Amino acid sequence: MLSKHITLSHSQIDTLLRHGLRVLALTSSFIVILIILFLFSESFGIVGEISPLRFFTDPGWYPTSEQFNLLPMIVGSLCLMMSALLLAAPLAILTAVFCNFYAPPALAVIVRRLIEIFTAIPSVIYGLWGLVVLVPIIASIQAPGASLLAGSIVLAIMIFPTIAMVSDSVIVAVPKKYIKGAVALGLERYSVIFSVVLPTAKSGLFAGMLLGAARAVGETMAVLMVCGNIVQMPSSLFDPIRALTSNIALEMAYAMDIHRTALFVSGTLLLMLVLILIILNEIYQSKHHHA
Amino acid sequence: MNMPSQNQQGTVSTDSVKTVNRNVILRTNNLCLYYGTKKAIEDISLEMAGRSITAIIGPSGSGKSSFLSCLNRLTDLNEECQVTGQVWLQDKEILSKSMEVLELRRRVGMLFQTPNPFPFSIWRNLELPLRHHGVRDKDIIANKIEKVLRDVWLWNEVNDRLDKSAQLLSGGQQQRLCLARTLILEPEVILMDEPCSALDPISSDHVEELITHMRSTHTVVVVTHNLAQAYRIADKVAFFWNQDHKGKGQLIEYGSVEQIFKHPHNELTTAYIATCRC
Amino acid sequence: MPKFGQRLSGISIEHMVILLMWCVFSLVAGLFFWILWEIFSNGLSQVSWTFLTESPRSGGREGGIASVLVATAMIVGICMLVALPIGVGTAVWLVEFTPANSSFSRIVRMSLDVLAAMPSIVFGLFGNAFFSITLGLGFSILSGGLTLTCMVLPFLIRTCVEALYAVPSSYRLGAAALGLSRTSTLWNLLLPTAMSGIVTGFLLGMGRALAETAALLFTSGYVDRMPESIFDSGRTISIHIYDLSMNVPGGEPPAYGSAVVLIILLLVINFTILGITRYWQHRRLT
Repeated sequence: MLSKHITLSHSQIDTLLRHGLRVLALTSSFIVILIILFLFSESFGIVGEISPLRFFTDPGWYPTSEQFNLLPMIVGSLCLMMSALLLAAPLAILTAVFCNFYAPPALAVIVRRLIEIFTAIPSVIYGLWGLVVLVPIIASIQAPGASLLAGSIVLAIMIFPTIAMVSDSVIVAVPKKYIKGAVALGLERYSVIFSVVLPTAKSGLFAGMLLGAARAVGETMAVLMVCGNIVQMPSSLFDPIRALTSNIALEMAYAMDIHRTALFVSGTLLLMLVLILIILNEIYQSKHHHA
Repeated sequence: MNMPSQNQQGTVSTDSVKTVNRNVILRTNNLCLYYGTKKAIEDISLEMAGRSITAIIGPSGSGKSSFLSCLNRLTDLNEECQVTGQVWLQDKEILSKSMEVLELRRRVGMLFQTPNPFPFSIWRNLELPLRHHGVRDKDIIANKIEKVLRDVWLWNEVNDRLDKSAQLLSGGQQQRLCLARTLILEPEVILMDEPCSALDPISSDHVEELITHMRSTHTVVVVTHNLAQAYRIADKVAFFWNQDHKGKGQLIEYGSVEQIFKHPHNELTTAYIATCRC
Repeated sequence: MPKFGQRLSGISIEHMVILLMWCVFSLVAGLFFWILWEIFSNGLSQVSWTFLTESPRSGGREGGIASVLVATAMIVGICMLVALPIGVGTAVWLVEFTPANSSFSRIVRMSLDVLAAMPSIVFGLFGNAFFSITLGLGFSILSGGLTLTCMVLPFLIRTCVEALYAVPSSYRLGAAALGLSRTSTLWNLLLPTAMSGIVTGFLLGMGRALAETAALLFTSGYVDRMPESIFDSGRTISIHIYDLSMNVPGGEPPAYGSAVVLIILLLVINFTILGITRYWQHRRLT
């Protein structure tokens, strides 16, 4: 009744399963290797044909006459990231504080739910809004409207939910005994928040900001739609700029040979930028934990 | 006898009348267990007679549970675990590669400290192991489920809600369901790891009574913190001790319940027994 | 305490902070409702039965989005069909079949973290170079879907890993003690118990795939005809919105209409996730 030959095949199935799962796990990690491999092999095809320094010293970005200065776009991407972060981070952290300490509980639930929904809204939608609503408003202040400012605002709106969500979970995780201790000392609410809660949550808030920054630097569509896409060093907030990501999206469709390679180089730069942000976070977190 | 000497064969009890006519069904020989490089139990040689209850007593960290998990090779689940020595189930060496682990665990059932019914219906909890071990006939399954539920006195309490989640049962009922789940596979040996310590006193009494009833049908090895309970239910008692608190659990004394509780040979046993008035 | 010194003409700092908090909240909430209002007030009137069932004409200015919806469904379908087995398999392997501190497991985890942080345009570059050119799939629904698979995989795996970690280890011990095989334990116990998490991960991944644009620009392409097979080029609804608003003069009304459809699809996914979580919590309690 409790037959023996069935258990024999059980262990054979187990072995099969183990091998099958290992293959699947290998596939997952192989994808990363494949991506990096392809980016690098396509990027380094250029070495020997032109010097890598030319990406920074060429007179400009004129791919048709083989001039590939990426510097304005790198600067553009960094400017966009910084200004978006400056706009979004304080608002996001304050909103997280609002949810935890000031909002009526029912409202806090709704706000959290909305933030969650807004992280799921695709970038083209924000881009569409920016293009149709925001750009004309900015144009009425100073033409042409499609500018670094428009890009920063749209990016800030996009990364706001990400930073707010991380900040909220970090603030929730602050041990209640710290807060009780501070309250017992007779501190007022704002004082508890700014002298106990936020300092305790510092490393988590930093991680949230870096996550937002990484998203901002990697964002393509919204930036493509509202920044004007003119290759130049921005001299004011109202100047149109082109980001690294938009450059790829705009020119990939028709790029050939060295031009195509140059776009892969900008992709590699982009990836490195994001990896630097991740490593920065790792370093900061490990430092903070040792302290 | 105090420390069993090495390489003993067959029955050895010198002073227990109870085991004279019974065959040894489970025997360990120089059993050692390591977690990584840390030795958890050292050189344990024990013989357990069939259809009897062996209680393992001793303080926390003396390797009682580790010892138990060697007997059904649950140690295999922990990659860091290494077991040396031998364990014989009747005439089979269970630590050898040729042992079918799944069949071994069918023959050597286990009951845990915290009741762990699966998050399914009561019926499914009992049906799953049965089907896995090759029982497909619906009538046989139904009969077996009714029988084991009666055996653990659960049938009258739950026969009208077999399709309801097992997690709705009380702690004591859950533990009895887990016992039924073990019994349904008709094991020869049942290992119990402090089966009553997570239960309220009344449920604990129920489970304890069930265990004593199983004396006539099964070989039970039960780890317990509760000395009074060991005295009440066991035929033989093994006392484990963690010498120097270095994490090496050792067998200090093994004998009949009367001998261990009334005339312990080892002073460690004497001191430990003295903590309880039986 | 300094409390008394901090009073400014009868208004305490606490009051000012409260005011600030509500201002921030109103600003943020106002901004988001503005965006939603803008999209819905302009787009809702565009959405009709014919909009959903007709294919776009004259670059999308006329007609509807039927072919776009079909292409979207095909791309997202391929993406999830490939991602689900690889994702769940990897998660099971990571949690159940390998010690968390082994070097292989660490490598897999690390590469998943890198994958999760990669900008979507980089996936586009890779998809173009690998699927479209090296594998010769061209600009097709298949290469678009496979590119998205690479993108959603880390999110799917992370959710599944969390779901499996949430299964109490006492279940695993109990199953092992009953002599259940690993396969049987996985199939009959672990996967059913972790199912709500796995479904949530699946839907999250689907939402991401649906929202993605940049990775598809040069893998699945722009063609707005009704796709006939997975080797045809097809544009997703996100790309349709982008193309209408940027490249088609007078394309804004249908862009709004498509945006409304996309947002509604995402909201449905989002609320399904919420519903599933609630249902499972409810079931566990009763």
